[in-house]
Amino acid sequence: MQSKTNLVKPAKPLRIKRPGESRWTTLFYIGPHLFFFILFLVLPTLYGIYLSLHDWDLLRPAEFVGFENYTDIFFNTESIDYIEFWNAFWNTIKFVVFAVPCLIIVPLILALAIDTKTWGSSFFRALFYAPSLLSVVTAVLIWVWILDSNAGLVNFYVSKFGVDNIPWLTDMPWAWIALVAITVWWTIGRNMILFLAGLQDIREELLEAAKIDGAGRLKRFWHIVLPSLRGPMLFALVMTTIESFNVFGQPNVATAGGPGTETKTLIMYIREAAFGNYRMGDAAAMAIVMGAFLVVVSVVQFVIMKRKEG
Amino acid sequence: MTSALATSLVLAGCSSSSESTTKTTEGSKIVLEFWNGFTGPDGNDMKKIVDEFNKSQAGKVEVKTQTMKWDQFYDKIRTVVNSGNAPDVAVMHLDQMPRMASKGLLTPLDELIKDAGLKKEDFIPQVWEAGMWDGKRYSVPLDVHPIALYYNADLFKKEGIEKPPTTLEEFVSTAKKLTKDTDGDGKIDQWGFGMPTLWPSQLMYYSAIRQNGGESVSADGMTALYNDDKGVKALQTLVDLIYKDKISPEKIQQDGEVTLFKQGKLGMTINGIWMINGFKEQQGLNVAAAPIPQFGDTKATWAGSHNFVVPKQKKEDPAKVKAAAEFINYVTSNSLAWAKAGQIPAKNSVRDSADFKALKEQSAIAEQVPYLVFPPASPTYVDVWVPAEQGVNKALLGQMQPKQALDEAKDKGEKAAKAAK
Repeated sequence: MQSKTNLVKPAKPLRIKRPGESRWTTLFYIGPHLFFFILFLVLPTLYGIYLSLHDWDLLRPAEFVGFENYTDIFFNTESIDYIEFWNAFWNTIKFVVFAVPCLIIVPLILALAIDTKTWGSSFFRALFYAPSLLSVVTAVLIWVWILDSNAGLVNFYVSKFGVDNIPWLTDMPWAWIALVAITVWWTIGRNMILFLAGLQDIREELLEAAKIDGAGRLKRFWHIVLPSLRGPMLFALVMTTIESFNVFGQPNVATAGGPGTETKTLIMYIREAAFGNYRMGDAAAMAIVMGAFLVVVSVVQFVIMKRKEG
Repeated sequence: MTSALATSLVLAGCSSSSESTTKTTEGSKIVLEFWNGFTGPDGNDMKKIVDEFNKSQAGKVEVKTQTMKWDQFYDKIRTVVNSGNAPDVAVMHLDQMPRMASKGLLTPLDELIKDAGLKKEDFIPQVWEAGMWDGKRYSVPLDVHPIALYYNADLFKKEGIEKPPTTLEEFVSTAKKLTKDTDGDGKIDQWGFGMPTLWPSQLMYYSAIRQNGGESVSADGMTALYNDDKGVKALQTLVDLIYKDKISPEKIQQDGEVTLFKQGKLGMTINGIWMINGFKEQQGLNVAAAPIPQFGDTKATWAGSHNFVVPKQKKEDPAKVKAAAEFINYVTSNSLAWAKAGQIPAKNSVRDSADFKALKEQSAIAEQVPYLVFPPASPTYVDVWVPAEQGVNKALLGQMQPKQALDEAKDKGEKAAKAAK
């Protein structure tokens, strides 16, 4: 196991210092990115931290309140944010737990199927990638139509089997099932392409050798294919988790957070607090709590994946 | 105002258009910047009126319109007033006005309207009154847009129903006649009514509270009243339409009842007046409109209203403010084109004109004008009310008892109001 993994690991390229290369060259290369990174990420984050310590309604001068916005979220059971933030938080966690495995496994299966390079594989590759090109509103509205409980296509066929109309977008647990299905359909392409690229990097000799040694399909998949996909897998896992945490468009368009507030996600509530109620400070504090949580989750994912490698 | 869906489509953080406003008075000509959120077909109707006004002024005053989505409008208006780039005149929804006025975003109009000859007697009194906040006038109504009962005239004829229902009993019995299995497969495929579980169910609920003699939120906007006996009874009536009277499909999704109505599978639906043109354009649908039925002891119908406001400037220019008042007066007096877009003009003279009466659906819906009701003017009204909408949703899905759902909403709403204060 150990040796096999090392075999497929690409060798570290030698770094040769060319003449005339200086610190300025480096800066020249990373400069443009650094500039936008600071402008659009570092500064807004710092400003967000500043805002989260204030109460501000966009009009009157911001009023310093210390950690009150944070204590409201964590401890003040009488505050609206305590109720709504944690409701939205657990809703979001539910979505992540339901969606991420599907968003990894389904594209992996599709990538494996397409990688067999039988007839039509490039057609299917394009087909499965196509929904990713749609905007979230377009993608979701298509499904709102298809899943319409009284006039939709899905329930039309479901009723052929004598099953009552299923309230796909209005009731539990259907709303979560629908949201995950929509998300899988819409975002399948990115991870699939990632896995495909990873699969194409696996050296044929390895698989051939395993075959000769008598390893079956399943064994080859477990011991060669899957370990070789560690890189794309880690990337896909971390990115998909972050994106799933940031879910907004799908529930906003398809369920409006309903039934009640059961599919209202963190971003939906934070946006509502900021631009619906003009509570910029509370919203900033919630966004920062959410961001911090995401950092922790990503680090844990990295550590686990790395440890397996080591 | 379109539907809640349309506004919810506007995603966060995409407001990037430039704000380089031309504040100059070109020569002796006064240039007014006019902001509104009419991004739908109604934008063209408004443009026609503005063009007419510009023509009538013959170079003395020119109004330049900037249209943006309502979400963007409300996001932006605060920042531009703050930075001194506010438009000279704008249209906003009546229920947003108190919030804006309480934050000092708007100019009081009491003196101006006197000079421009705008007075209470010329307008629908309830909506005129609703333009007050803290004893001062901040807005002038352009229109009212109530909800209405739409019905499929062909289905009515087929079942021998002569006129739209006006009471709860009539409504239920009419709907029962229309609810049936038309293809004989043992399942109902034509319904008398479609009770939405999301928007616009809260507009029906608000009307039903007022029809039962209740109120939604206290005048100061801090206490929820919707969970009292009257409010609970109002919600129970709506729940019963689905589960007791069985005249509506269960668990209808967002706009699901609109789809069914357009497909000719619903006898009746209740929605805003702004749906008129969409329904009329639907091929194969013979739609007619009527006042909503009365579900309680008194008549009452929810309505929203587009209102003119004059945002606060860093430095006020009296000539501009005067021109703005003239513009407001002109548009409200010449709002027939606006009525065609699916609105009821707030000004009596326009509503009494033969041209308006010739608009069959609009004038039928306008029969509700004497008893239109508007939520109390308070900056925190929305905070207390919104959880009730979620409670209504849960009750209509059959997940919670009305009383329990509304009690929970009251708790949330009052906490939200405290946070907003």
